[in-house]
Amino acid sequence: MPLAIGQRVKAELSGTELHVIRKLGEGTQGEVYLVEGTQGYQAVKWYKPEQATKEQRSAVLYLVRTGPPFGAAGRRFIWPLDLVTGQDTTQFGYLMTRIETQKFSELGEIWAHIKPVPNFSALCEISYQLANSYRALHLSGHCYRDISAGNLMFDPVTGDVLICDNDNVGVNRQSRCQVWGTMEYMAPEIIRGETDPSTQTDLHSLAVLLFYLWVWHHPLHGEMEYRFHCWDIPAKKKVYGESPVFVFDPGNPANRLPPDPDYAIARERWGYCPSDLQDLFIRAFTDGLHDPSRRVTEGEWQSLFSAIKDRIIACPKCRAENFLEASGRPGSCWYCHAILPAPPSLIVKRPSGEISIALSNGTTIRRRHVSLAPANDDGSAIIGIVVPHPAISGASGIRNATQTPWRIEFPGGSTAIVSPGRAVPLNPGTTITIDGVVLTIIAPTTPVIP
Amino acid sequence: MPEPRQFLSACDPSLGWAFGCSRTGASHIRLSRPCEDAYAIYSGASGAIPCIAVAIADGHGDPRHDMSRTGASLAVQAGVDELTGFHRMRVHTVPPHILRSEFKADFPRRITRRWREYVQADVASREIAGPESDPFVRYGSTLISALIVADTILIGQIGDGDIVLVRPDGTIESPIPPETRLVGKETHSLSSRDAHLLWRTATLDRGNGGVLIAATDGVSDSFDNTEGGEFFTFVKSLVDRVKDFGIESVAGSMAGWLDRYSELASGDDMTIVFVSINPDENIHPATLQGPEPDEKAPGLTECW
Repeated sequence: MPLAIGQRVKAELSGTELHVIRKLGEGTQGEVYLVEGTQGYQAVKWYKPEQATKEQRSAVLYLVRTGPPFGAAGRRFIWPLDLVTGQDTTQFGYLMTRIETQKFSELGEIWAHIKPVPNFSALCEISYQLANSYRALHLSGHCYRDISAGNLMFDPVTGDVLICDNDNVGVNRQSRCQVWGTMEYMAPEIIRGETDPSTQTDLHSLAVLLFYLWVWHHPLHGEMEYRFHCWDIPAKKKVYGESPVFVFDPGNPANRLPPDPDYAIARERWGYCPSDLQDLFIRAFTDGLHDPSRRVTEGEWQSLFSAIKDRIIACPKCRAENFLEASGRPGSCWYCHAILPAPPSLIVKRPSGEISIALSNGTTIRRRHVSLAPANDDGSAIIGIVVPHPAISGASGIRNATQTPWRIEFPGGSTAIVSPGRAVPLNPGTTITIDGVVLTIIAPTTPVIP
Repeated sequence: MPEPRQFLSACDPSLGWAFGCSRTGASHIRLSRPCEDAYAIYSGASGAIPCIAVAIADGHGDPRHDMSRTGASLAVQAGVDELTGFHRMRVHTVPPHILRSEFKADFPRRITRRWREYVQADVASREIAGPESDPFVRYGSTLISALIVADTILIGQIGDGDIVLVRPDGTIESPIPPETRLVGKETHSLSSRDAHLLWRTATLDRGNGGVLIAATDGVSDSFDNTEGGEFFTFVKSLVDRVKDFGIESVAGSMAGWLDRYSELASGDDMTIVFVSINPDENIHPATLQGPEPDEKAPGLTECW
């Protein structure tokens, strides 16, 4: 039975009582309720009778005792906090933090225009944080087993991510689970019955989810799915498991997007993806479909999204965000088609290698650009931001957004101290030293190529 | 295309009963325009499991959407066909929680495609030659569709209109919140290029049943709807009247009520579908006895 409004349930490990306030929603495994207890307002997922099994109870208890992965990556998981039971029932649930649904959105709400569409910068952040959190989960020895858009919520403005329904998380290649994911996200080898879910099959699901985020389409929904009038289980097994072909597979045209209005958005959005992102998707859904060891790892996704976020520039004519290609070729604006001027960039020399950040008004320099993020932080704190000069039209500078002064050296060799809140002009050759790391402003080196 | 029937009902003893009513709006009558709403009610079996499927649609009506009356009729037909077909294909092959997640994943894409196929067939049958614009735009319509089967209620909606479930204790569940980012009378449409992305879906437990009410926007626009407001009061009063006076009485009065609301308030076409859902008695499909009914045998099917 569902919980009744006003009913009292018990958080087993803490021994506290929870008061059911109202139903918040309903999922495939159970209902979610707003409850009030000693910790204030929280949420309870209450399993349906057929889902409230002994195995699920043990799984929840295990997760409560283990806790989420460490640090910022772990805090994005809405992790089970306690087992919740009621009187006169064998049903149970688990306690979790309440999600701010005004702030966080589901992908479906973006598609249906209920919430604002994230810009490229936010999309990079969402994708980075997703990869970062699943990396932390996998490194902790667990697999998620049900990665899908249904378990993701994000702030479309800032790109902050929450990962819900963590009750199916289990020990990689050891524990069993009741939910084996949604078929459209399942790795082909699971659908063919060759293996159980694992961190390796999670990588396929993660790639599908990222593709949905960027292209708003399933990577295998092309001619093959279109031709199936009866979209039943055998048809799904064929498309997702037995003969999967990527819709943008450069070497196999068998499953291209049909010329139907349904596919126009996918075609358009694929075009917005920078070529190095397209390349990773192609690998994930060509080699990675057939050889799990060739799948794109969370670390590769993380590096890519961090890098392409640093290559976002605003079109000077219409302000639309554009990705500068890795080669430095800016091309033309995807929205107004104006030719984009090559921007100056900031080269950061780190012990782990050199990175380049395209500089245009609004570009942010984050802590992770200059230092290895501490384990409990994802390095997203802004330390510098490109701002226009208050008096000189067309001139810009990097404002010191930290609490400590920066030491800078101009091309002529003179030095200066830039206090917090003040800006360094984008003068090519100028170097900024932050925490011992040298950042050099570089003039646009490539001619404007449409 | 005939006017939608003023009144229609259907019943399945294990699930409950449904009725629908559609009226031409007062402003449409004044302008000699037909009713551009449509509704459909189906009671029968899907995969040998009893089900009730309902759909309502509101054709857009302006000159750009000159075939929207037909578009709305095709939409409700597509809604019922897709829901029953979706259920039939999965009921014996996937567990209930997967059926629900597949509904969310597949229904928007498949229903949009099915409606487009029906529109293309209609275009071909009318020999409408080479329309300059997108042919689907001419047939533009909203659609709300729901299937009540076994322990589950599946709901899909594109565009405006309302669907609410009044539980036996009087609680009103609004499984699909209203569109909030559109201006004025603007609405999402089956004819939109990205229609398959604009759907909102919900799955509910049948639980202890209740009354599911779907209405085109002409009905809710007749009320002050600040935070649900008067429309919810109307919905509750409708449920109470059925309890107090019986279905025949309410059904007999519905046309008059809708005409009056249209006359005094929105002026728009008015369509409402009302499904009284029995409590789920946990009859598992596997325990059903007897031969499977012939799925080709006519159920009680009506679509406009």
